[in-house]
Amino acid sequence: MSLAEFLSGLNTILNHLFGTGLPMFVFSLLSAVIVILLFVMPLGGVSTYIERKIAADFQERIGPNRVGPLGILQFMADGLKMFLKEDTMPRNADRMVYNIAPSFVTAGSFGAFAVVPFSAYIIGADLNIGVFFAMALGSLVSLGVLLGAWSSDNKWSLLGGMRGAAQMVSYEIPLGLAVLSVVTICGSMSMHQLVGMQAWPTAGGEGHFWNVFHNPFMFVNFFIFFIAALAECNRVPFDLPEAESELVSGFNTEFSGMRFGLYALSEFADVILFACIATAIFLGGWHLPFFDLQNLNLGLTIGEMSLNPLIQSLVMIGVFLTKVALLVFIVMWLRWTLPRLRVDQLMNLCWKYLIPISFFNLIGAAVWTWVFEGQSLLQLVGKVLGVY
Amino acid sequence: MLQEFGNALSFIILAAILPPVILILGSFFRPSFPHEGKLTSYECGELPEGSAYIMFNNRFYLVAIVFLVFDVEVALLFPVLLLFREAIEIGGPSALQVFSLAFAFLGVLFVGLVYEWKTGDIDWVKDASDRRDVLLSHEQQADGRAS
Amino acid sequence: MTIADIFVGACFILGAFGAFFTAFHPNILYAAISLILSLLSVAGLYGALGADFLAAAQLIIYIGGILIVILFAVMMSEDIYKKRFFEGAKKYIWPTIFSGIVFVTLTRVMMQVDWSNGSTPDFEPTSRAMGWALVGPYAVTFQYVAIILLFGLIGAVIIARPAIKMKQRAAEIAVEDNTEEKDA
Repeated sequence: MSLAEFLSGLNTILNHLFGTGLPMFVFSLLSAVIVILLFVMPLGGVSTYIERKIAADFQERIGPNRVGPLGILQFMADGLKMFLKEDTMPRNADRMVYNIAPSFVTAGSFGAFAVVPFSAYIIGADLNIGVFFAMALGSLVSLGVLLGAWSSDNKWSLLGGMRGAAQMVSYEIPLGLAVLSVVTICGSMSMHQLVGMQAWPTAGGEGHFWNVFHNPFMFVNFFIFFIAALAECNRVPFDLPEAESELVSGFNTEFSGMRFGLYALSEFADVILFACIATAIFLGGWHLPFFDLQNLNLGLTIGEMSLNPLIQSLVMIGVFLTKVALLVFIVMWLRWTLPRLRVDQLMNLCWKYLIPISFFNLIGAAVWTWVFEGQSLLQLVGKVLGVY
Repeated sequence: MLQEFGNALSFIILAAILPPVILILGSFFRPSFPHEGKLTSYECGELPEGSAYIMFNNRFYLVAIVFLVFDVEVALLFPVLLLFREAIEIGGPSALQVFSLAFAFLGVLFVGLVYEWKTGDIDWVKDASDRRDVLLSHEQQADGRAS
Repeated sequence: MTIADIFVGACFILGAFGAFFTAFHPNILYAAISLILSLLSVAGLYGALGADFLAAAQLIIYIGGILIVILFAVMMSEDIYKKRFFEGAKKYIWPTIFSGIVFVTLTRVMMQVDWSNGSTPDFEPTSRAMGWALVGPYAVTFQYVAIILLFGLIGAVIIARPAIKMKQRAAEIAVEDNTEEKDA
């Protein structure tokens, strides 16, 4: 049997099983593997190194500089160490729950990368409930934290886990309301369309520039989203669930070796995920001001196939990742700058400040959309100045 | 549309399978020397005292219930506010209809939030009244020493 | 037999297992965790049937909300490992009768429907249709849901209140006792 026959036979089987042929099946699996295993996990690992270097800069010391040039292989050494460490489980721990808890956390953090729009042509799954799906998976993470903490048979873990679950669950509401205001303005939940509408406003075009500059309410909503995302990821100033100085190690006290590594990795993946979502829905995703990247035409071809989509995608991914990197840097900056909030201050902040403010911002954004028919501040200024 | 779901599902399944696969793979390389000290729960170097299951603390439960109500509200507002822009373009009373219904829904629950705020149910530390017995015993001790 | 059929079948089986263990497992925490399995299967079924919004809403509301409430309640009850349920066969009688009645009714209804109407339709996104339904024909239901949620909210906080009032009352009594001792 020749290779062509084998492939066509495989194609028929896959067509029958999946309803689509070999290319889509391969694309589906490959995109999951590439995004999760080759992008998110290494990026999470490198983030640990970057965080230590940034911490060192803030604290005026050097940081890791032994392993590899400038210490850049430190994260691989750490990963290898954690992989080879003994996996101790307390005698009275609940075996089954202890084993399945990390799965919920990683499913929530890594799985939501399916809807992140890296470029106009590269998105894992262009669901028409994009942001809603990402929020749904975020709620799985709080479940994983609670289960892992409870199964550890340790008072510190249980306290940390319950506080963690209460915190992550409370801050989902300002998060949801901020996302809801974006959905109100753009009229779509699909991440691809949300980014597409944030193009530079041109005459007759759909774009209204970045959502964060759409109207003053959205500007405040961006900060509410950012604060709520910090609380969702258990980052300072909201890292009470894993408070190093109070609760030993909070909900992951009894997790050692790679299990702890998975929790830490999924925490970084969560940070990167929320940075990606914030970039996509507030900061314009892969759009640059003044340029229209989707019509970038350098005229390069290979034979008859135009290289335009590839070049456009590369530039778009570059823009997107730059914005994500900026937001992740700000998250790390905050970690080494701000003190931790007490648990009642944390809850007060959510229920008494963020939720009322985001309610009123939602109403304000809706009124603005209604009165100005969805036009942004920039478009209105442009109309007044007669530019378009 | 099902194809997109399939893609999203493959992401979720891959992510959920990852921890067991990594841990099982590592079990071939990891040492395993269970020892009494390693198997007991960590309590800052002391032997663990008492059961690890703490007493009922109803503020967690209350936060969870209030969250549940607002979560349902946010989830139900999504499909309604999705239409807002479309309703504006259609013109006429449909935009007013969407706006008023959505924000009446929001307003009803906001009234609930305000009520909770005013009666102090939303405070994490409820007026320090559950600390009053602690404060009282301190006062008693101070009085005992003074007199 | 496409992969969609296999997926739906897996969701059915896992959902049935989850429901079985939720109802019959003696350990209450494991029962709550089997509920996770059951709810995830229902979300998968919604997705396979083309109800995209409902699948994600199931994840957010049921698994991210109701299950957290149930787990908080379970985890904070005293000595949950010591509680064993269904000791004694008497507790099985009435539930079996009622669920048997429901089972027979549902099976007869299902048998009377003509399920053979061809292949699955092209699924369309459902969020907008839901939205128009909620502000159109079902607008009153929508507001009614808001009022029911408000009732639930206020009911929960009122039920949680007396414990605090009792502690306050105990503290006040202690203060009165203190002042009486000083006077006497």
